[in-house]
Amino acid sequence: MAIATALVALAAPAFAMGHAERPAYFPDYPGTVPTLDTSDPPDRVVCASDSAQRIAGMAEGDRKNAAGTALGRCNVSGEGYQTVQDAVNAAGNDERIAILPGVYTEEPSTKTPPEGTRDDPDKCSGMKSEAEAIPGTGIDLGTEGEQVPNYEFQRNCPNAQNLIAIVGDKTTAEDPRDTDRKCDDKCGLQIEGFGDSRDDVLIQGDKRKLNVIRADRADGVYLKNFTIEFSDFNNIYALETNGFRFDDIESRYSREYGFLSFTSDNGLYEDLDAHHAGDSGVYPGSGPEYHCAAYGIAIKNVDSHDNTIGYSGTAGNGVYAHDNRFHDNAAGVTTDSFASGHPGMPQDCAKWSNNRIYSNNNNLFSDDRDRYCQQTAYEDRDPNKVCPTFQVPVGTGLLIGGGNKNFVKDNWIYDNWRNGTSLFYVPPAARGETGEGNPWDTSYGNEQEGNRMGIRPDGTSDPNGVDFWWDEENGYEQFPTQPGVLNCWTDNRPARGAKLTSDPVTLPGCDGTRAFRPGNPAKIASQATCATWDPETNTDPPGCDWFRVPSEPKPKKSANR
Amino acid sequence: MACGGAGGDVGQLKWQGRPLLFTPRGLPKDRILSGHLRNDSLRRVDLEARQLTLVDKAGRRTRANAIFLTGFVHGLYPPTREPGRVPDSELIRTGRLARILPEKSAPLTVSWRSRGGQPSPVRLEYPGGSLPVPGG
Repeated sequence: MAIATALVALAAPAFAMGHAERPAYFPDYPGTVPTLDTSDPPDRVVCASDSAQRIAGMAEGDRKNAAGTALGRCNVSGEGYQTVQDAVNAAGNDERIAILPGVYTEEPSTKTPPEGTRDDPDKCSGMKSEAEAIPGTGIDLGTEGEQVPNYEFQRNCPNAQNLIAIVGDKTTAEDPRDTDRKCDDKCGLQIEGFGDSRDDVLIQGDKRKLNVIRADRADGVYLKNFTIEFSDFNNIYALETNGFRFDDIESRYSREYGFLSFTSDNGLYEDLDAHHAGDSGVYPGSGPEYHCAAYGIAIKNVDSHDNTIGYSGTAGNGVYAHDNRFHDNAAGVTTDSFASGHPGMPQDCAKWSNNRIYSNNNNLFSDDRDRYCQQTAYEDRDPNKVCPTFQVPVGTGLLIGGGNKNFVKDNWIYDNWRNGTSLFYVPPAARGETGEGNPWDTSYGNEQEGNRMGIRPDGTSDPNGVDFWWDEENGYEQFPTQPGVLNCWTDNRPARGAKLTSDPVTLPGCDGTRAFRPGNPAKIASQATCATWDPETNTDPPGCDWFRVPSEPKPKKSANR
Repeated sequence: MACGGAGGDVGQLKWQGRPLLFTPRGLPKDRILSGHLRNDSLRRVDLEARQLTLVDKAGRRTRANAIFLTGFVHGLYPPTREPGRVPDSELIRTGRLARILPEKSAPLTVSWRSRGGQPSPVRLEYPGGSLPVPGG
């Protein structure tokens, strides 16, 4: 894993993801991925009413002993708490919070009104974003757009939007000299479930709070060993945070995202189970801008399944994802330049290596599911019936939409009935830019090398519909003087006796050639029709084949057998 | 407003070059029309995609989707969670609104599903004008 420790300042105002967010900025100071420190007992202990009973049922050993010792502190003033939020509120820097086995609904937070606190519902009503412009357009969102809570809002009313909030930067109201957007208190917090496994601690949202856990300018936050569910937006959210780690956590049943980081750096997602999210299981969006010199966020040993998308990342830059499984989603992995307001556009420089990306044919866009989602409010839905937030081409393993200089290397990509991988151009207008400087600034220099296509790790043939699909566009790095390095494919291998399949039939090799190609207009236009999708009013747009699951491709019999 | 008959461009907007009309692979009943609209007038043209209608020779409407894009884009907000008033900037970015200055152009993709026995559309109408559908 290559994690860099410093990042050059890059600040851009932002609206984010599927929900408006305040303007966000990359951290512009050195940082590190936090490590777990267990040398001292936890500073604070969070206890459920039945923790003792649950601990009694734990397997004998060190973990049970540690939990039992911690249990003795539940009623000690200043050490024992009934909610995670109360423990966070009491914590200082570099503290360790243990959550004993139990279910935590954080009831006081659920009673906090959307605009304020329990004591003063109007406290934060005026703390909204000031006027901002979408970069490059001159369009002033401040006069026409949605006013969104700013950082001061989150600091002063942490539970208005969040079940549990870790908000670490002092505001200028607290210290007029503090304008650095850098964590001051509640930095380096470790919050760890103290059960045998992540099944023993459940943090349960109420489906109304946007985020179950929000880490906002909370540098060094380390979350470990619990299960989390039922956010209205993100189960776990890291924003403007330099140094974060999500370790051994199950996230399920989020309305949109399981784990999401945005304008954050020095992060690690590891040993996660992310499933049944309406958008994606993991979302490293607006990733750090190292421009291929380093990777700032790593994702490893993640099992992301039964979501609309296993992994997505608009402006998902500087991410290294390896040794993960993305399967049984509608689409396995996407990274893109589809939307506006994401710092770091256009997307570039992610790497996927040694992942298994398979069986992403989960049709969440069927007529039955459309009807169910139309007729059933989120609060009333069966959590195992995912209602997609956005549209994706069902049956796609990995999709790069408007990305540059990405590496897809040594992965196992099989049983995706549409395409193993898909690569296409996205115009600057998609991110709210005019494109006058470079109208073809996406989709160049992406390398797909050494992947095993249409074959399982045990050697069984399990074909993709088409291994590689490309719209045939190759953009400019600098317009008009420097075409981008050609998107290229090399050393990819099919199942024994099979042939690689691609559209177009012939793909460029990786010899470093630079060239501009305008692309196949019919392929590009076909994608445009899918933009008209609406889950309530236009579920099957003419011209768009994304929502019709291709039939399962049959393995071709080997001539050698 | 022009109704019936293919004819030429009527109104402020013209096709810039010849638009592409094709049947997408795997969707034999569907048609996609893709091109760029040029504003030949002296004033800015604001046009909502939903104001465009496809009509056949007899002036009957064909149900269609129109969007001022040539490639895929998705919304900042999920379709079911948009704010009460979506900013014009977002409508423009997602192809639901075109704001075309004089001498400038905007991309357009229109798609429809042909019904058995129904005549093909021949014109694309908008408030104040119409454009021919190639082959119509």
